[in-house]
Amino acid sequence: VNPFRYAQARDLASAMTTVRADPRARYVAGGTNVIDLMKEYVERPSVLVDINALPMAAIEPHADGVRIGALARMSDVADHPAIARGFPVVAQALLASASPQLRNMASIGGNVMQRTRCAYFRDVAQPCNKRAPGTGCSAIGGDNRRHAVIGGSDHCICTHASDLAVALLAVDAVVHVRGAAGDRTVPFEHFYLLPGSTPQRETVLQHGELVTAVDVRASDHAAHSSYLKVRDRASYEFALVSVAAALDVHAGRVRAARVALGGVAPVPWRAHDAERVLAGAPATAATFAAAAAAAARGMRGYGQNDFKVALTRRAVARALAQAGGIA
Amino acid sequence: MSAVAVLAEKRPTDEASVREWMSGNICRCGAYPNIVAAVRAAAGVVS
Repeated sequence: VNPFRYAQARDLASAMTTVRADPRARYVAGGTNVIDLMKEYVERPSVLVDINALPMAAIEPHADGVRIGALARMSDVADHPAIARGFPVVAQALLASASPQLRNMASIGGNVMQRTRCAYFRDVAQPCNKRAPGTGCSAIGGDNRRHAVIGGSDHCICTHASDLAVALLAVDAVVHVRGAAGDRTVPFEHFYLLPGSTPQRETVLQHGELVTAVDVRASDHAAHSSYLKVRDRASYEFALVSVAAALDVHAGRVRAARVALGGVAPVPWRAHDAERVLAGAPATAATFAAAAAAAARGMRGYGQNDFKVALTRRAVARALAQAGGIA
Repeated sequence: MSAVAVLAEKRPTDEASVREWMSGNICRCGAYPNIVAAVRAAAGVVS
């Protein structure tokens, strides 16, 4: 690890001033991501600003949903009755993430800001446009079994590793951001940026801006939601493909649907085409199969990850059956 | 420590759940059969 300075923030304003003043400054909460990256020399911060003492850890149910503070721990959110009851996909995605020890440390803000697990990104000896813009993408034509089948570019085909982020897409989450000009909200679907020619830019946040909370909105589809994670081993592993499905079914018909995918794109991926197939259609296996086909349309592999296209189709069909209660 | 937490947090104590809640303790510290049995014995599920 390179030498770095450590500073404990006492209030949000001074924490932000410190980070804004220095392009190499980083916030740290649970530390389960940034510390790993520092050990690999991928992150070389000048100063780590510890924000754990800031009052942003509350999980607050309100009339329209639940406001989850950015410093709430993954384990506390997964166990919260309002989340388990109103947003099962969120609880399930959290419990399918990492390990109990990591979930006890890792914060919600850190989870949505985590960096890709692409092995080339994490190996400073390898070219990687995200870590070192302009050096090339080693995964295209390289070891790409875990990489994206949609949403990538000639510059980057990494996948986003968060399970939670996939679930948040399915429950219409909104991110609360504190910036130099004050507070703003960003619909979760617009929070991440596709790599395009600038894979080093991953979210709409400017340097120094901080996620302060994530709001999830109560709805009939959120209350009938389900997470399916397909991975190489049963526990403590990232997704090859994952699906967050939320379905409001009334009198045998789908009134509202959300389908989001993990493990297939550089960002958590909302499958709008699948949702359009579902809306108004009978909640049957045939409808779910058609929606699954729509979800996988436009996907293409890079060799080792070709299998993800068929896997996506099958996983979506199964996740919809789970969420629709016909599994 | 993880085993104590499984009981303190009142997690399910079927074998699969014990293995899952002990997950992340790599190799020998994880969920070998006798570790799972020990957690379940301490929970009073089996003697």
